[in-house]
Amino acid sequence: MTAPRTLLIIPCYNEAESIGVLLTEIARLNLGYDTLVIDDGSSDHTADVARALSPVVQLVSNLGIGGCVQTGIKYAWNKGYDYCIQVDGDGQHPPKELAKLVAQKNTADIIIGSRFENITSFKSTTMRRLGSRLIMLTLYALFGGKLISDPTSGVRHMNRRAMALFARDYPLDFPEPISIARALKGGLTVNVVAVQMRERLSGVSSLKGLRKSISYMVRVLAYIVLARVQKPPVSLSKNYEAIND
Amino acid sequence: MIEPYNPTWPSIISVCLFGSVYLTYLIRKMMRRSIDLYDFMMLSMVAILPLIFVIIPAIANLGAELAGVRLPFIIMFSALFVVLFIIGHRLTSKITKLENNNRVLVQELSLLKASLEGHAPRQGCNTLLKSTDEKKCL
Repeated sequence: MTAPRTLLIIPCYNEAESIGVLLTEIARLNLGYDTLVIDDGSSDHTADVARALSPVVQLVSNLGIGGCVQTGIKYAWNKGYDYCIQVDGDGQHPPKELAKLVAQKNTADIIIGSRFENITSFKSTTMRRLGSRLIMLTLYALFGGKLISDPTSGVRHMNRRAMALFARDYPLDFPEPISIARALKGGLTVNVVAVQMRERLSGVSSLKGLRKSISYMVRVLAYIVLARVQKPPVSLSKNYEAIND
Repeated sequence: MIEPYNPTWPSIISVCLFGSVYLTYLIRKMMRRSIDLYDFMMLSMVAILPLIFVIIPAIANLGAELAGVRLPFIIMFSALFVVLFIIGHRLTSKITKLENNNRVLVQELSLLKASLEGHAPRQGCNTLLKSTDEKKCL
């Protein structure tokens, strides 16, 4: 029996300063996963830096984080990977923490690394924690199941059931919380594992300022409610057949 | 008693002038394939409806009577609003569809490009690790 194959999907946009450090760290840890950097049309040297250390898919035009991650998921699905792990290219997610997600891989279709389960290192802002709590409660009220303490986390482990759904249907805007809602609607299971996170190595959050944060919350909550009332775009079984063809 | 609507000559001339210029413009755009026939029909309503109202005022009066409104022009603007709403709805659907198609195309093209350039990892090969399996993959 062959060992399961895992692909690390690293979406990047103008992360030339951090991507090299992250890829070197991954290589040094010898995790045994393939890596794939998806460069979302960066205007700096992200792709060149990454290419020296990992295979790179350079999007011909900027699609945003949703389209970027979905490209990696499509790749993982098409190449027959058993699992894929999404890790941000800004270095917020220490690669050594990935083992915690992998250890729980049989407990659910999607394992989310949560920074709020057991905070001992990097502490997120109060606003962000409040926002995450509100999204968590909305998801719980609408879909039930387990409380997802960090629905906006960008570090997540997916099996082929999750890949099959997301390769076909993945939100373009604010993908992390909305993809959870769509996954739950599609009958997937989600589990949460405490992970340590650190401050990003470079760059700034796109959600700075009260106005942007409120706008983000309103839109995300609206999309989550929409996911609850919408029909799943394609049923899971159909998804498998369609993508397998 | 509401007085029936009777357009004056200046209003008939100005609406006819606008209608003919606007329709000519649309026909030219259609001939150049900038817009398709359906778009032409919908957009031309913006000229055709006022033309009907001023050339055949009986229709305007009948419409106002049936709808129970005092001014026949309310009927015309309502109809124009409906036309614009249909145009807007159609364009929004079209843009969403094109956006999705564009995303898929960008993704597929990028994956294909990476595959042709040999940048993407091949199956079973960890390009970062210096394992013995790597040699098999090369």
